[in-house]
Amino acid sequence: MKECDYQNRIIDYLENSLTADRRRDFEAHLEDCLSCTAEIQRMRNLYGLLSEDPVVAPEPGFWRAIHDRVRSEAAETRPIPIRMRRFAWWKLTPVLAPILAVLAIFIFHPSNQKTVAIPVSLDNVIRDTNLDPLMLGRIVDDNLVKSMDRIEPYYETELDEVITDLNDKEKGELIKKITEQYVGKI
Amino acid sequence: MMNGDDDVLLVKEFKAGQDKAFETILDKYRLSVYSICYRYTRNDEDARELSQDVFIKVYRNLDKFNEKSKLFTWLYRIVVNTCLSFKRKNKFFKEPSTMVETLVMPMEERLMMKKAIDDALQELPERQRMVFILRHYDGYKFDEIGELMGITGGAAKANHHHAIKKLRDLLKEWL
Repeated sequence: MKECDYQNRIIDYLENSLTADRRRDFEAHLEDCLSCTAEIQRMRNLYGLLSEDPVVAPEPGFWRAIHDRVRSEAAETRPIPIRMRRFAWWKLTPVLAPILAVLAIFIFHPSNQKTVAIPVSLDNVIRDTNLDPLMLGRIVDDNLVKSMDRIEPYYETELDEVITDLNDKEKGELIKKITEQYVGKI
Repeated sequence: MMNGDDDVLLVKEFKAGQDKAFETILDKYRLSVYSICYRYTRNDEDARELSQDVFIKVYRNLDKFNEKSKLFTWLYRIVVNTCLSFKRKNKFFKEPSTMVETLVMPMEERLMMKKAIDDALQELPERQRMVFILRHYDGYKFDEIGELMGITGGAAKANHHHAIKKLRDLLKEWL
């Protein structure tokens, strides 16, 4: 049997999402269409059937256990997870490059032979999204970036997995530690 | 019943170090969270695991929660993502209880009906199932569902229509 063209309005009709005009039109159609009337009844039965689906909530002790677990977890100091394996260095490069660039400028610039304090905080450097990546590309030696692989054996976890769990401050600390370790190995 | 202002206060209290605020949030949302998880997995054990995962994520990330958005939107987004990830992680779903033994018990028809609903909902693709749950059981508007699931309201509505039509076919013997 050919399906009535109006049947594609049935769900919207039952969900009260037809416009007033279309609703009136559909209701007028229902007066003459046994097929749509029967289908609406079936759909109402379906909605009723699916509503017969009670959820039995877990006992209160279950929720208490969750709360106890997170509370005990919070009581422990969460160190920065620094055990990382298979370090995805290319993902870190956009973050490390500005830091290394700033360090390189202050360490190697000819007019800056004396020890000079970096005038911006590490966090600011990390957050600074206005640094021109092309300029950085010229400043940062490719070999310098590649040599960062030396640190890879020290880590056991995917960095991108770890870094998503860190807040900005923790990210800053992580980058700082990695940078210190890396610069120290050059 | 608490409102959004209460949530703002609770988040502020939590960020200020008052652990009791998390307990209040857990008490407020636990049944909604468990219900979505149960209806998604059709399995109590899995729903408990998912609910626990959700609240652990909430606890770990609440201090980073941006108070410009609503807490329940943020929290339900975690629920949706946790459920959808669970499906991906556990590629081979556990079969819902077959209730072979209980079929001979009284209320046989009711149990068969429950199994039919379980099976039908599990037949739905994951997005359709989640949209249907949020719409049918939690009464969300399609725009809200879209916001929770990271899709448009139109896509949510289309998923819902497909879900209803599929459920209607799968459960036709019961209609």
